[in-house]
Amino acid sequence: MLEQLETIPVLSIMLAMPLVGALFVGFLPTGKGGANSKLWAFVFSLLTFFVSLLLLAFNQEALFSAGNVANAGSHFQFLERHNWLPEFGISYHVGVDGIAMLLVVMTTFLQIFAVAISFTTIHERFKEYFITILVLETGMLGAFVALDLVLFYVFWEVMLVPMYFLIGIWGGQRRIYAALKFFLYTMAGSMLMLVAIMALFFHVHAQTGVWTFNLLDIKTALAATPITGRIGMLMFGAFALAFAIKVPMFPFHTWLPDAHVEAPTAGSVILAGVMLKLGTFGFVRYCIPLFPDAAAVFAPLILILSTIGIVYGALVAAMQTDVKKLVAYSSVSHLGFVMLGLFSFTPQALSGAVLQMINHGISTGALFLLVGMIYERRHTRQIADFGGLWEQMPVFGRIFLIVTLSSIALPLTNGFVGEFLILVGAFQSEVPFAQVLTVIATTGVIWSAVYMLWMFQRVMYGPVDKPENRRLRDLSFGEKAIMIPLVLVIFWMGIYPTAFTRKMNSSLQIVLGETRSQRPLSYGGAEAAAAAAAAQQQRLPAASGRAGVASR
Amino acid sequence: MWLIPAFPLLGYLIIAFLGQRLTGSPLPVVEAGGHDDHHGGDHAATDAHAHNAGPSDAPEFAADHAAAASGVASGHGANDPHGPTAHGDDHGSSHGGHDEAHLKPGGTKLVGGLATLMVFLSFLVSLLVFFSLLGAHGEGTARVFSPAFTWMNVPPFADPLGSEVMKGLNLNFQLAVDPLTSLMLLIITGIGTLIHLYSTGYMSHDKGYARYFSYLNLFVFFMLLLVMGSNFLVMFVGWEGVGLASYLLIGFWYTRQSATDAGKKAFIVNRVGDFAFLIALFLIFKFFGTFEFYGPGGVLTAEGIAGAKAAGYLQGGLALGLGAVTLVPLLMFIGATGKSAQIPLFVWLPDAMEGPTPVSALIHAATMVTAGVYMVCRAHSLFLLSPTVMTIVAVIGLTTAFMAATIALVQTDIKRVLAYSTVSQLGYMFLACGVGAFGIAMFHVTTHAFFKALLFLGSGSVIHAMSGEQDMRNMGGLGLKIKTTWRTMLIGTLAISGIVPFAGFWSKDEILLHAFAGPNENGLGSPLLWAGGFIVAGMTAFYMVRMMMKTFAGQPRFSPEVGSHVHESPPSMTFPLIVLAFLSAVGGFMNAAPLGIHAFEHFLGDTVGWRERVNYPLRVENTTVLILLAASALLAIAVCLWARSAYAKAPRGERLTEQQKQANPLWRWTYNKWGVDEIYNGIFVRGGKAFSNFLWRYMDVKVIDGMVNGVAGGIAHFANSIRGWQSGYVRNYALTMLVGVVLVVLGCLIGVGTFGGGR
Repeated sequence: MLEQLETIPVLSIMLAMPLVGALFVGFLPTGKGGANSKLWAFVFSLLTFFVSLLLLAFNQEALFSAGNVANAGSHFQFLERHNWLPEFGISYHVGVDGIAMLLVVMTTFLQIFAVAISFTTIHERFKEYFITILVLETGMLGAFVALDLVLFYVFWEVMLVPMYFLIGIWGGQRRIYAALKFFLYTMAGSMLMLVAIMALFFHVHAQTGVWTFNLLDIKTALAATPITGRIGMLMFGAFALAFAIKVPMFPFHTWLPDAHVEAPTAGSVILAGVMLKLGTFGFVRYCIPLFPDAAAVFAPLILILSTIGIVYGALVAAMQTDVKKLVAYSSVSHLGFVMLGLFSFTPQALSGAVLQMINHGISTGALFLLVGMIYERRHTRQIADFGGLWEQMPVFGRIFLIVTLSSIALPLTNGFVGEFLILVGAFQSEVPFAQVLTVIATTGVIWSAVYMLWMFQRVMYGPVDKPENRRLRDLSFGEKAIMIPLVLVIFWMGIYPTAFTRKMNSSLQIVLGETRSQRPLSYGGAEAAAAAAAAQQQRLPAASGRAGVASR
Repeated sequence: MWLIPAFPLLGYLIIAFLGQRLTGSPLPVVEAGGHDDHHGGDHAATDAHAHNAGPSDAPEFAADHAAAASGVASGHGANDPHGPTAHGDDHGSSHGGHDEAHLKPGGTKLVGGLATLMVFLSFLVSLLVFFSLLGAHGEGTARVFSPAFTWMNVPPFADPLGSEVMKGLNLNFQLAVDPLTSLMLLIITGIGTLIHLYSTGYMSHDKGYARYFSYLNLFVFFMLLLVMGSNFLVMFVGWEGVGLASYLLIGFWYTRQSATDAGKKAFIVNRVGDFAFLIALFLIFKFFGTFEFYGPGGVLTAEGIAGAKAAGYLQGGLALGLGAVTLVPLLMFIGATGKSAQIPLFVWLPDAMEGPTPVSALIHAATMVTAGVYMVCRAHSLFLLSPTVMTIVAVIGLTTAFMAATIALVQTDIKRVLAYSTVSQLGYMFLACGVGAFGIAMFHVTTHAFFKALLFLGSGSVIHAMSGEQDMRNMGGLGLKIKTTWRTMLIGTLAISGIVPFAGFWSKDEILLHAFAGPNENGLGSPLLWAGGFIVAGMTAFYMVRMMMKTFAGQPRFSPEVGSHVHESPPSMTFPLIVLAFLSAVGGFMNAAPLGIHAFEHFLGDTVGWRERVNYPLRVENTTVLILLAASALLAIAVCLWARSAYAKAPRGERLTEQQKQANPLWRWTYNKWGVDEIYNGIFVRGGKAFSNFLWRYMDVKVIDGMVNGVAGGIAHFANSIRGWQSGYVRNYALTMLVGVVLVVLGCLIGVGTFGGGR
């Protein structure tokens, strides 16, 4: 099935779909109350999702076939490559591995709900709004699938602009401040990354005499002559800073609460659900594979910052009076777990980290949706303004409870699997201080219960002592339709995460190979490829055996 | 085997989705306006909009309707201004009549019956499994595994170019039943069935009827997972899951702040224990490479332990100078102190009495709180490797038992007496574990499940009769009015006090005996431990008789109005009492060691280290055993009689007046629960809040954001200051150009001078 699919440009169709949708929205009449714009945006979000589902044909077994290794050693599938500016070695080169594939599907999945919730939360400038959000989707998807550094950078910046407008136009009271802060923060990181990309470009030319921005070619070149020493550290640092701001890691996180509080609901969903993952994804895709030595050097520092982020984010979250801000700080904490997993360099932690990226997208996305729903009813997000909603909105209450539990990582929900794998993996890590830091990070299970349950208690339980809270209607049919799929995914990932991990296990193995600082998986020389192929051949039976077990 | 947990889960799902529909929309007391169609809920999703749009003054109906229609909701009440909040401390307020909901009687019968039936079906299957294990007796090695599915799978990593290998993780979701599990199954589903049945009567007027039963079934489901899991992770699922169910049920009357506070406290305190448990799991994975209990290389097998030893399990200096061999059981025990309410994490259990009384009986007396004991027994082979930890377990257990008993002596709330009594009895169980008598610990778990469930249900029956009153100062003289409750509770009291030949005597006596002369090669028992346990046994008898006397004897101290409502509970509630009373009376003969009956321990066999125990018999003479036996038997009888006569003489059931109480520092101290709650509140809650606030308001807003805004402000300032240069005057630009040209030329000259000079 994969072979047939790879003959058609699935990824390009997927990338184009939201843009086509934006054209529809732009050129067709808005309709009464934005009805047409809503319809088209929704239809095209759905179509994008369906197209992205084709990626599920991603075949991890194929990675282990010798032919594929010879094929530029790519563990990427659905590859497309067209020259763009050949004289500069810039090409339109896209493809997905197991990690990107899952994140892409998560993005298109969340986009549906982001668009759907906008039906009721957006009250003006429908056309512009839906165009913006569709362009944003293309930007994010592009950043996930790009395999060319310039292409990646373009998508990376493209998604920045619509988000800036989303916050700045459809945001809350301090939207301009928040939008500007978001933009400047991110731009500062991006600039450094651009410098590093250029530096890499010249470095590779100096090494190989080839002008190229192509990720795979660069990896091949670096595999032969890794960047080490100070220059490697500087480049790693530049990339890492850009991604760390996006994640956001402590202490670069202060843009996030402001951006979340001011952003419209859909903006928060996309911001937390997808955009933050681009930061962590950047580490997996660029930072670690390109500069494994520097990554190993920086790992203790990153683990320390992640651990601080976990505890700090949770403690600060506990003190928040605004539900949305609370969720924003909880994201700092949760993303700390992801970073902890990524830089522990163990199979469990890495697997957990990628799972946790998806988990966080689903759970926090769902939380923001829920917060948006009560905001529409009460026009406040202050915890103190609520109380007793369990009585008023039973369906809302139950769904809110499930999502809350998922956020505090109760077993059988998605959060547990991710956190557990990260922590158990990090504990086995050889990075200095990893064990102590893991123990500190594990206190996160206490703090998350503290801030989430306290918030839940104040919002949902107690008597209805505010007259405004008496007139609340429960979730509408549409709102239930938005929440139920997310709830199902929460349980699905919690009970049978194998469905997800089996798609990414082999890609993770390759990433893990790249993290082993000396001479990672070689993409170039025939000897190395042959050796790698031989080694992988040996692993093949085991892998298929596992897959066989998993598929039962 | 999956059937056992599947039944309660099914019950939970059915009730959670359909319970509301079956019991009907509750019809609360509504003073303002009202809606005429609030039965059924077939068209409610749209109703919600209609209500919202209309001039509705009872939107809660909209909520309820939507709930019914969606099916997500379970039984749930609309807002009732006279709801439980109005009752203040009145715990059993659901029987006050104010928030009685007009539920469909057929529907409630169906829901309650369904929930009970599901647990009962589990019980039947558990019985089948039990008898099959009994038949295939292999000294506790008989074990049946269920089909499994892969839960988490991370393949091992082998560097293709190197030989470096990192171990993977393949975790199955699997259940297993061996004698230990099967015992727990019988307790959980057996007593669970009785308590479900009891609840159908006790909760019959509560508007949250269906919600209650859905939670209760959910609890049973998780509890079964806890004891059936074939590895630590599945156990942990149950472990956290029962915590969730407990949280939901403690906070069942959610409009009451104290109830939701108590629920939250229970969850968070348990999470502290879970944190330790998790670290223990990480260590286990590090050294064992698996979480499986048994099977090849399993953590609890000799082979697995040998493998771990090869990996350095016995080496010290991992953290705080301790090795994994100490840390693993120690951390697991901290986890157990959370779930089983031991020092230092016991504070949540007394507060947990905010939940409905049957919940206290099932979760906070008979089953969930014994999970810690179960866990220690299950992992006894790890504990036995560390005599240090064994000693800690014994000492903590005894200290907790003593402390809780002192507090129980002075409580006035009937449920609080029982709550502290539970903490105390759990301490006994850990004392047994700590001296290596794991089988005896499980035996006490079993007998305690009988008599404590009985006592709690009995107290529920009292509260039911007293229209929600829980303060014993307002009771008295009930013995003649509710005879079944009185008689059954009396049996429970005799059992817990250790009167021959009731169940408690046999288990408690064995614990004391082993505390005196522990069966282990390390000689864990000591006369000191015995003496402590002996004193606690006396106190137990005293506070139980005190409670009984205050409640049932003497003159009534309640108002005539309450008195007129006093009635015996319906058969659905008294039947479980009678069954449990029977078990409390004769249950001890399962393991009447002084009579030479060891059937119970023998059945558990290897799962509780029976063989080790046989190899290291008691280090005392038979005469000593007999003296100890006689001492504890006589003590119980003597204290009971003394307490009885003391309280029979006491005016209004009080031996001390209020002034005497307040003047007595010891009384104040014990009544205030040794001040532990205050200390924790001061340090952790207030300290934590202050610290977190500091982090947020100072670190985040001032320092970090201050720097960011400072940089931004600095740039803005700089930009502002150079803005003046763009004045629009040509002469200024010309000047600037001139300066620029001069600078460039100068720069070139200097550059040539510096760098060019060398050429």
